[in-house]
Amino acid sequence: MSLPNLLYRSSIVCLLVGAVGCSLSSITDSAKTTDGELVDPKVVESKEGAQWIYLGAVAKFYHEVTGLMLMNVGRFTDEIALLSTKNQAGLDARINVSTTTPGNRVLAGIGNIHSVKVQLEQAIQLVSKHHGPAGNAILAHSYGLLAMTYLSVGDNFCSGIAMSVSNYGGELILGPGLSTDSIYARAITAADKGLALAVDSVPLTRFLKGLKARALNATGKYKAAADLTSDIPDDYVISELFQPSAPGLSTDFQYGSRVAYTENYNVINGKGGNGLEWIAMNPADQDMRIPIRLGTSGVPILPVNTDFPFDNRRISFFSGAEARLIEAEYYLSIDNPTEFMKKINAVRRLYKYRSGAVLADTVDPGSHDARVDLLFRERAYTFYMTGRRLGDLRRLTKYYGRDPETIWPTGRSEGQQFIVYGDNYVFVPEFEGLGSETNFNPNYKGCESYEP
Amino acid sequence: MSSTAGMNFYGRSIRSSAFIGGLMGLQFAIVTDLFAEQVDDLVATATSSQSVQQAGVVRSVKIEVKDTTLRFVLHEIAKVSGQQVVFSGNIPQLDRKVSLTLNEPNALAAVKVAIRGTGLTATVAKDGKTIVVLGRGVAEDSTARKESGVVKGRVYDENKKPVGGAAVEVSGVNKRAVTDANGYFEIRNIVSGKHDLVVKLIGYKSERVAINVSSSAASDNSQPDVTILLTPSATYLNEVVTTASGTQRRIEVGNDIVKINAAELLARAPARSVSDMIRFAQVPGVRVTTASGEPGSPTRIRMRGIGSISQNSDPAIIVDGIWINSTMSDSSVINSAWGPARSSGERNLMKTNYAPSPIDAIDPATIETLEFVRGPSAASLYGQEAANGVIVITTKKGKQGPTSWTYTFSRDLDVQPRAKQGSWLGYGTDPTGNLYTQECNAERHYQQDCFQDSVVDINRMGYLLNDDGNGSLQNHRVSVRGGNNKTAYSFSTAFQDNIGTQRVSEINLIRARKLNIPITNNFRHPGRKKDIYLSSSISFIPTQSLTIDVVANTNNSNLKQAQIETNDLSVVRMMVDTLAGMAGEPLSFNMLHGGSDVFSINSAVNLAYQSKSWWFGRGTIGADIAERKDYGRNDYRSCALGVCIPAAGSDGMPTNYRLRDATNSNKVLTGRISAGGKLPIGFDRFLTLTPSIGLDVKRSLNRRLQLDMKTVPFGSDQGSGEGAGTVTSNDVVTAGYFFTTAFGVLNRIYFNLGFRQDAGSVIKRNSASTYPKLSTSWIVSDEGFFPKNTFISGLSFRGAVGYAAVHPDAADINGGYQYVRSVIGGEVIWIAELKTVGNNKLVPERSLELEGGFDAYLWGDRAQLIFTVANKNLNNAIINRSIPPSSGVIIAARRKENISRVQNRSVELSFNTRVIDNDYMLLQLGTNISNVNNVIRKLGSHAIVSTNTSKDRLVEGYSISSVWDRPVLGYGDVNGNGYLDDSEIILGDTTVYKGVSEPKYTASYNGSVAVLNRNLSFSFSLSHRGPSVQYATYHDNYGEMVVGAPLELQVRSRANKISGGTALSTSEVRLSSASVNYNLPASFSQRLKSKLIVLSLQGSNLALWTSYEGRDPMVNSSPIGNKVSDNGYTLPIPRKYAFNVRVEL
Repeated sequence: MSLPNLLYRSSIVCLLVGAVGCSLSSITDSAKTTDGELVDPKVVESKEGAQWIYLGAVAKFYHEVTGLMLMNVGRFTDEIALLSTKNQAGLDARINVSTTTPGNRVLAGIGNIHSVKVQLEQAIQLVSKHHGPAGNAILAHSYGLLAMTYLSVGDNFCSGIAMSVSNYGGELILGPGLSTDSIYARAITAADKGLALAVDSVPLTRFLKGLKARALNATGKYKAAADLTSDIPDDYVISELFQPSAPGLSTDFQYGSRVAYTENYNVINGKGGNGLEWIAMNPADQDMRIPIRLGTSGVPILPVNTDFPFDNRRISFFSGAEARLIEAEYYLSIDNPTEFMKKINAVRRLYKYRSGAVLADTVDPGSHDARVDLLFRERAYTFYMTGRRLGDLRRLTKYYGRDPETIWPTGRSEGQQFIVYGDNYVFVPEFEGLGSETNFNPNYKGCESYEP
Repeated sequence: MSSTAGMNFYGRSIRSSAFIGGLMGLQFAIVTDLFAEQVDDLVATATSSQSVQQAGVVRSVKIEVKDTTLRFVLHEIAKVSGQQVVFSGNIPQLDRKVSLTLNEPNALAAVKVAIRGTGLTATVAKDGKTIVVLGRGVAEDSTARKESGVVKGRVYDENKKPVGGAAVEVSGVNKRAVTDANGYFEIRNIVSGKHDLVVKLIGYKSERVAINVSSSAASDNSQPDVTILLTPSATYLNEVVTTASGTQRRIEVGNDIVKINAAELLARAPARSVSDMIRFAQVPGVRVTTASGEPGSPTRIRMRGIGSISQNSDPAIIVDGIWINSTMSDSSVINSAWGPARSSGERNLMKTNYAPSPIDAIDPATIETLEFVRGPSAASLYGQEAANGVIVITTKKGKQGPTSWTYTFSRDLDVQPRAKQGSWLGYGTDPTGNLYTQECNAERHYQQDCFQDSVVDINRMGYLLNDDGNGSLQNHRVSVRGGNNKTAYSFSTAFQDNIGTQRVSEINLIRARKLNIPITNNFRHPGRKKDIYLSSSISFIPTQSLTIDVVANTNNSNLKQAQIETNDLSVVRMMVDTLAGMAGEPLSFNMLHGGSDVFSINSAVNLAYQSKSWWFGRGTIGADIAERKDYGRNDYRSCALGVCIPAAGSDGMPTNYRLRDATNSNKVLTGRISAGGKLPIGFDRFLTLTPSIGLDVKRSLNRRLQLDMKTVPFGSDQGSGEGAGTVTSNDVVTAGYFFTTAFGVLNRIYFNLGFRQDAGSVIKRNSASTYPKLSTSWIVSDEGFFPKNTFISGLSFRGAVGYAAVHPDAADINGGYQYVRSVIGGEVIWIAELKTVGNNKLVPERSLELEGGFDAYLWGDRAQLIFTVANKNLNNAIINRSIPPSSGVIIAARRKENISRVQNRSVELSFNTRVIDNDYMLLQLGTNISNVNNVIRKLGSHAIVSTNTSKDRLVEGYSISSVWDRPVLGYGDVNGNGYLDDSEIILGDTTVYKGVSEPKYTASYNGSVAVLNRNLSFSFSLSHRGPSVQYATYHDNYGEMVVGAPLELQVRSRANKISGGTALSTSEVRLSSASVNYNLPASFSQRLKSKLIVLSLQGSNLALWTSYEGRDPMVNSSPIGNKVSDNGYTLPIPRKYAFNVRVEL
């Protein structure tokens, strides 16, 4: 160690500067909880600092991944439509995003996911270093969220998204594009790492098993997926509580119910090529899983401006319902309609009206194709506005042979009649302006595939 | 030859310290004076019987002179024979006029013939070469000596450091000596009685001390020691500068360091702050701009140009050995208060406050000297953060002697120069024939809302601000100074109240009266700064070798920047209202309070041990602490039907009154110890080695809190609720050591080797940063071959090369997180959110600076010419580089990388002369000229630069401060409607290079004359800034659509509007200061029981000659970054007329 380093690191600092100087060392620590303050690197590199980074990663995950991506997917798949006169960067129109306009929502979406992923990885790096075995639960949870970020990329974006390494301490390795299957493989790896650390926590184990099962299911490995979810009870749910934002607080969700928000969304009602009636013409027949209400004109609307998601509504990250739907898909794959219908109706019975009645059982539609329709219809309602729809549409095409043009929205937009849908099946974040992957990552070659 | 020389050597120029060396046979000994006792020694060592043939080459001497002094004859003998001839300058016989014809075989014979009959004797010194002429005084026996006395003592500088090389003379008896390296002197054989002891040294004021020499003092030790304190003299000819080894003769230092005597500076210019002092000092290569002419506006100081693209370019500030916060131009100096969101048609309100520069917390009157360390030595002395130069401030210390009280009073009148006429306005009448109450522009003209009947110029720049008025400043200061040989003290307190030149506009006063809104005095004088200074210095001198200085400077500053805004659809309406004698009702009435309260203290304890022997030790410990609160509040009233009431803003938020606070705290802690010495090595000072080593620690804590608006009760500063805010904090610790050594070879060639190594919290872990430097100076005029003449009495060449570095922030290396509040699981929690990714390959941006030049002393020390050229290459300049989103950064993904290169070249010239210098009159003239050329040599791939449509472009081959603008390609009133539509003016799509905002050169021309025994003095200073381009945003565009306004005038405003500003060229000459000082006659002062009364009348910024259309080329409205920008909002620097009285008791 050089002499200056020795000086710097030793108590000579105190000897020279005196007690005043040493006592000042506590100033930054004691006042750190001030909004907007940059975190002292010395704080980051500590047990406490690592925990802050972890909490930041969790909050960022809720905000970025479950917020914006949930909204993007909803609009792209016609779960909802934007009623304002502006078309937001092609989302409603399923067209390629502008290659010259930065800041569109597809780019924001992938950027947010990268940001969450990097912070999660840095949290894992710092917690591993500073917490030791006591931090296993934190690490397991972090791996779970990391798996979810990969799942979000795999479900929604074109194949070939770049994944870089950006460690705390200034190491930046720009990564090449990864195929969708590789992305899912990473989700599985992350979940496995979490599972290894979550042995003492049943809820965390279920969460990680569920995420792994979701990744396996997405890649057609139905039995492996169902095996993982078998011990997850029906009432299991891991979710985030929606909290309306307060002044000065970061919101959980991108489109939180702030007064100043001017976007106005509505619910698509079976138009376009989606084929699903999100609401029936008669509001009384609507599925309780679609949180609509009647607008002033009597037309059902999705009241995101003021009360969507409803106060205290929880956004599920994984639940017993999804476990049953994964198992249903497995039984569908082995052509076991009895077990398939048991799982489907088990899911329906989880949803209760205010009166206490549950959703009524449904009957076996009688054919494989009809069961596929039923499964994905139940998934559509169960996962309404949770950012899952695009992944399901892709699986319908990839593993069930559906013509994408029959299940992606086509024609004129329900919400904006002047918009004609394009032909994109996935989010394409290619962009050549400032801040784009294309321009500034030499290892990135663009989307490998634009197919579902 | 110097007139103060005690002994002259003809044939070779020899000075005292090398005299012995000369006698030892060395051919290169050169110094000016001899101790009196050296003459005695010379006699003792001389061998009178020695044959001159032993002296080596013998030349015959043939000289014929007529009616000339014997001194000149000896000179001629030496010249013809090539033999050294040495004599005492005090011998009166040498001034006898003689006529001689000499034809002698050698020099000794010639000398003996020449001095025949004078009572002088000649002999040959021990070296066998030097002929020594001895006077009667030397020949006198010891009896005569017993009737005389001895005076001895020590000479210090203002830092209590011993001063070597000073000439000490007993006035009237021609007894002289030169202080040795430790400041000691001793003069023997002084006739008993009262005498004046005069001490002189180039670069210092002469000091005269009364002494009483006792004839009974047979013993050398019977007389008490005399201590003399020298204070630096004029801004030129300074000889001693601060270096790692303490003080060092400037001529021995290889790089140019400028030292300014604060008292002399204050005597010639009304500097009311340290920023003012730096501006008035006009040091070549040091440029100062200010954000506004209002009180307390911050300044931006650049030494040798812009230091970096992305890093801080501010110089470091050292006060009494400790670091102080030098952040003068970062975003922390800006705080803004917003009014409520406006409805359509109203102008948004925003009051931007500038907090004062931290450097201005120091009372300028307490400063003794300012030193400007530019170039390669800065970093090796002070380490990181010194790459942009260092300003070393030394405050006044106690002075031995009886208690001396000083009271000064200053009263200034500030007058705002009127802005240029430059806009135009259409007057009109409405369809009913009444005066139209709004601007009658083309649109309304064609809508027949008004009928335009005249077009006139209006004062656009001046009008939109509050009305200009006269500002004032008053300053009361009391100081006391005194001490004895054990303790010295200096205390000073001052109160300063500076009222700016802004005034609330008359129309708003009328409106306020009509609307029953009270206007407090603060709003009548919107800009005002009050300062209370308290400075103290106590020096303990337990022994002559040890000095302990304890200094503390505090400042409490209260800066107010208020503003009244009334919103209506047209500002011009106000003017029309005024003209019509009406007060149009505004839509809203806003009273914006803004300001900064600052408390700061810097305190240092300096310990200096200076042994009589060869070594010294020093220690410094100190702290600079400042707390600043910036605030802004808007009392918003919505007006209707003649009533203005507190109301909701138009954005619907129930927050009528908003507060924006920013609390800043800066703490800089310094610890430093050093030791060194002076080692004469062999050959009797053939080689001197002056090594010093030290280590220092600096800790800098900077915390900035900026809160967004919150609701407060009407008229209050406090309220419930708290908005989000932004806080940044930095805690940077740096530790380093330095080793420097000066090699003096033959006392005329010097090498300064320096090496510094730093480590710290922002320096890459486990790798220290090193800053080597090498400088050399060669006093060529002391060489034997240098022709002796009266024109060039001294000439030295110097050169220096060294490294410096600016470190990135820790977050630039590690990545950055920010605390924010968020919600997880329904609970509000604090989290840390990733904001930036780091770069672990980032290294300090490292500059290599090469400097060379010369110092020439002309006509003795009557004139000094200093010339310096410097070249600084920043080879791995840090710039933001775009990185992709997969890095993890969402917005404007970037990180800093070492991919750019910047070059700064500068030329500096300083010439100062005392044309007349006698006891009755002093006439001084001088000029300082500098040029700085900054060029981006390389930007690097993916460096984040602005687009080619931007006015703020970074382009290879151009300066960082280059200004770009869209050109006007053509215009014309095609449709003949009398004014220019947007479509009728064609601007280029891309911006083109217009010039640099930093002037290509700056110059100052100074003069002063002192008459009446120097009791009455006049001085002036002109400053000249060469071509530069400022990016000026006209305040507003009213009048641009006036039918009939000249198209060539319309196009400026129209182009300005379309492109968002206009690049304007400027070149200026400014009468920056003038001063008259008068020392009242002593008899008058004594009647008032005072030692001295000085009256002075001073002025600054008295005249400005420029073609610039903006408000003031010296005012940079936007102190952030390196560009100069005149946004038309901030005031020009006012003219200042100052009257000062100083009374010393």
